[in-house]
Amino acid sequence: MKSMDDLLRDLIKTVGAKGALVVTNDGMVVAGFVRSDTRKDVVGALSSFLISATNRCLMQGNVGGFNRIFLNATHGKILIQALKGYFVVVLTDQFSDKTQLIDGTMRTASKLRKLTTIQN
Amino acid sequence: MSLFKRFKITRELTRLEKKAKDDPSPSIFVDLAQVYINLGSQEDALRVVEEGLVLFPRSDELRKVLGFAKKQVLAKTIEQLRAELSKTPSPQLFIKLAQAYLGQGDEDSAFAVCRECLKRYPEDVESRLFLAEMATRAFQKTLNVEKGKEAHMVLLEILERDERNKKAHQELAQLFFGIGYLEGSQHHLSILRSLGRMDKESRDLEQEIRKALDEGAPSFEDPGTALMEVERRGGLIHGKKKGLGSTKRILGSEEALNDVRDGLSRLVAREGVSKAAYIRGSKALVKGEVRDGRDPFLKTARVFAKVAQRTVRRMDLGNFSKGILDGVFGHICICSFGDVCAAVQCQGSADLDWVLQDLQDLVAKSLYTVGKK
Repeated sequence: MKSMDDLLRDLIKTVGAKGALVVTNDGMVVAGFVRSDTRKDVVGALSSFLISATNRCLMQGNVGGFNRIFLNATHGKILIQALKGYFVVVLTDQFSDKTQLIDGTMRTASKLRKLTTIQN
Repeated sequence: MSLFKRFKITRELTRLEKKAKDDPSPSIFVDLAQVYINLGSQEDALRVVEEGLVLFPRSDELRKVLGFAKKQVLAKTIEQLRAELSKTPSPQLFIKLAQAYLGQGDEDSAFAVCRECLKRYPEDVESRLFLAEMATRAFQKTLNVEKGKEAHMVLLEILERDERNKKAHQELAQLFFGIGYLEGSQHHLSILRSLGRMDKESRDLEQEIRKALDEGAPSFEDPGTALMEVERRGGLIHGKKKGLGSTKRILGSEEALNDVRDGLSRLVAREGVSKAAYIRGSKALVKGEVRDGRDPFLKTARVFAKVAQRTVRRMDLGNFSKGILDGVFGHICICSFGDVCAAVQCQGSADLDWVLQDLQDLVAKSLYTVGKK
């Protein structure tokens, strides 16, 4: 079975991402890679800020949590896929294909889920 | 970069260059520019995009890459200027650096560079004038009274050092006219006249002041009161910039409102869409199953747009434009530009790409209608 690092490396290669991380609820980076011009801890902290602010708002409205966040910005895209207790954060440039990004991340997420589940 | 990778990229470049000549299309030019950007050759990327825009002037993709390449070129220039400044600092270099920051849209850094320059060279009139011009433009754009006060103060400082400075008198006359301190504006124009330094722009301004006074336009007694009035009104008293940033007036514009209402109705009519909202500051127009102002959808859209903008800015990804939030509630799609944001809540059957496209059109159209006013 592939390690978490290998899965994220594969994801970066498949979707042509600038970085992919596994981040906990409180912004701790568990694993992942980003380009040298980006700091992992900053991405982790900012993702956690986005996740907690969005979740708080959804919980207050009693509409349940989120599964996925997709952001499109002038110079890049961010995809945050929720897993149980942690999140996969993928950064790409502005030219990447949204569908390919989501599909690739979903595939990696399901592999990560298997990897992190203890089987009897 | 390894030799093999470089070889691969060069081969790709040759192929794309040939394709761009034989069968030009916006995407070919975008790909080509992207390869140059990846190679670190921003100047070539800029050249390619400019060539592409000659053939496809309406291509949004090419415009986006043009903006990106320009920023990259400016980033390179900034790096060079910074290196040069650390070796041989001079006011001219500081001004060039501030201009480069302005080109990048980073006003805060431009202001910081100018202030640093004035700390080192307090007697330099050119950089002080540049700071005053920046502060005036920033004030006219944002109507931030502090920027107006800064522009006023810096211009007065220039006149303390050089009371015959034509540019400072002109800037003060323009600034005072905009905020409705007509007496002050006339005073500086009369100084320019006595110095024999009136040009066409100053003569036109003099005429506009006379016309405004004849029409009984408001004129305030001092710049402080005038600036407070500008803040209260949310618009300049005279001049082209009047009304910019005035949320109340913008939302009050019937034409803009009707366009937004139509856009929202079209969105709600789409399959799977249940709620739609157009949000500007604390005000919102809604359609569909929105209960009241405390509907969780409205709050989520507001908070999400704000948080997303902060996140992407801090990650150096530019401005947040579009976003999708998926959950048990369905999808919340958001399109944002400045303080305007449009959002919808929809279920699985909705075509999200089309919904996002409609949201983008709605926001763009609302801004265009306001711009026409």
